[in-house]
Amino acid sequence: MATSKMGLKETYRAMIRGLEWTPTYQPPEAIYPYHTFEGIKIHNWDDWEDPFRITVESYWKYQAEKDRRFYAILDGFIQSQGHLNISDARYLNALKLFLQGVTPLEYMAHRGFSQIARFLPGAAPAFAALAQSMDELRHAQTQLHAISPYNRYYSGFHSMRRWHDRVWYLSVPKSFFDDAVSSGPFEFLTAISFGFEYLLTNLLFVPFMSGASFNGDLTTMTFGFSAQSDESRHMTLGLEAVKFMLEQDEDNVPIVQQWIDKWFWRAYRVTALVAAMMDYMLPRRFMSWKEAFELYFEEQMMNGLFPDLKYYGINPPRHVAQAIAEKDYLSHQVYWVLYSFTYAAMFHTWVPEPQELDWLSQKYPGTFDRYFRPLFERAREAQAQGHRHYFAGLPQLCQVCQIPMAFTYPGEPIRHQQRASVYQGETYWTCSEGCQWIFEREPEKYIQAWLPVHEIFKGNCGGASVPEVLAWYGDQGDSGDYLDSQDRKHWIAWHEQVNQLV
Amino acid sequence: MTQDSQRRLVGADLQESEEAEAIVAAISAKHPEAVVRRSPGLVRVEVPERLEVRRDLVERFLNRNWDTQDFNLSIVSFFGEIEDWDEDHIVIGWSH
Repeated sequence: MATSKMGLKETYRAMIRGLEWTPTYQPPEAIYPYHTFEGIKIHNWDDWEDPFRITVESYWKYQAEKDRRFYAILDGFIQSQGHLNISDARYLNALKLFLQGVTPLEYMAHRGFSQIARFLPGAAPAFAALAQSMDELRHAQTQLHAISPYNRYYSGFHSMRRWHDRVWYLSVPKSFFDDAVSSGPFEFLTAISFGFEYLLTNLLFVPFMSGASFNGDLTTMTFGFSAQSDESRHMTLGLEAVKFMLEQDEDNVPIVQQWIDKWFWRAYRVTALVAAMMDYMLPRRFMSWKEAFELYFEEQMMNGLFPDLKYYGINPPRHVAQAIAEKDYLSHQVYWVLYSFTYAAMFHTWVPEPQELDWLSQKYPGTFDRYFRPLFERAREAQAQGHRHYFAGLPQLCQVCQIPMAFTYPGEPIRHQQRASVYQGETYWTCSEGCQWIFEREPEKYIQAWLPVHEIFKGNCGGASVPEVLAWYGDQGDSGDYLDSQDRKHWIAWHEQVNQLV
Repeated sequence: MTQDSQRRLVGADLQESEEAEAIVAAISAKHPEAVVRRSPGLVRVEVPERLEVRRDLVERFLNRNWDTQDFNLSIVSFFGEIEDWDEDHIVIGWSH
């Protein structure tokens, strides 16, 4: 059929493929100096396909529509006193973790992808990266806007940038992203677009979004959907990037395999915080960490993606069996760490209510009653007698993931792992075979880690005592147990006011 | 977990909305073996091997015109690889 209107594919070819030109004032390697040193060989940049076929025009059109929808709902949320409709103020601690830990990563992703857009020579990947860079800035902004209404009523929301740079558990996501942006461009794409966005992003966003939906948090649910609609495009960029490298040259295969091995484990360790959030911080629960891991990782990636990548000679990530073995106890170990160190965290923890412990027993029949329920029941008793359990002292952190060394041998929920590596006469500790493998592959990188506990003892964090460190964090009653918190007092006060009006 | 490891699944997670319901109906009409799962705020559709969203079917269920690029406003996540996307359809599959 003859038509004067160009179809999607022709429009994309005309509008994006034509964006590049051959430089004449400068040699190409002076303009694009970074895409060769990692050893990745590219023969034809035009082989890169963007299945979304997004152009500048369609990008603006759809992003503007997404923002219109989001801000209409945000206004409605504020106008209708949406903060009164959440399930319980304990829920907000999931949001605090998100704002403090994830939102600053969105901003870093914006910076990382604008770097990729500038320094990759192909027009198709450069434009896809530019679009993603703008998406990530939009995510940081919409997340700040969406969560800011709670800052008027609750603690833990007022200083996320400062905390992201200073507070111990936030060095986990921060150091993860810093590791990625300080890599070369192809490793960055494998780390963030593939390892994080394609393999694991569903485990981050879907639990937060469905959790928000189920717990009456309209504003978070809406930014989640709005961001996640971009995320599908980002996942595609990740998969395309990996397949492009694998198809361009066989020599790329072992390099990509090592990056997949490294970045799967790095990203998986960051999602440990999500595991704790999902099983413990949502007053209305809809799915356990274990169920989410089985659905979004084992089913989709192990049974779907990796058989596909086998064609190129790519194997599943080196340490994946350990991640799978941990699904039965990971969330409990991590929440127990958060519970034990909440005296210095910018959110609250608590002992789950008895019916919540029952839910965990039911979801984790092999492990919870045997290993973890007794811990929480003892903690409840101690708290009733006025001795809220806190761990006295500061923990050893893993040199790579920076999580306190609370992890155990695979399949053994209570036998702790502490792995030592010696580099240039110094001993460095890692939490697992995965983190140790990553450390020993590039020790010169990881010995530079800014480990919060070491920095406290070195005197770089306001002082060596807990009150001094809390003052340096800027704690305004943001830490401690939920039962003693301002949040709980405010929650009761707001709801009493409403009841009096009714 | 997938019971039948010979038939790999592909699928998409969409925001719960009228438009998404029409897209899910169009996918189910094209693929009678499609499985629809729901969780708060989300609707997820899984199909063995290959999933096609056809514009004409979505338009039939929506009772109005629909641009395949409007899929951008509904999609939350997908698994598989986007094999084709043009004016008439979107195809998600595994290439190998």
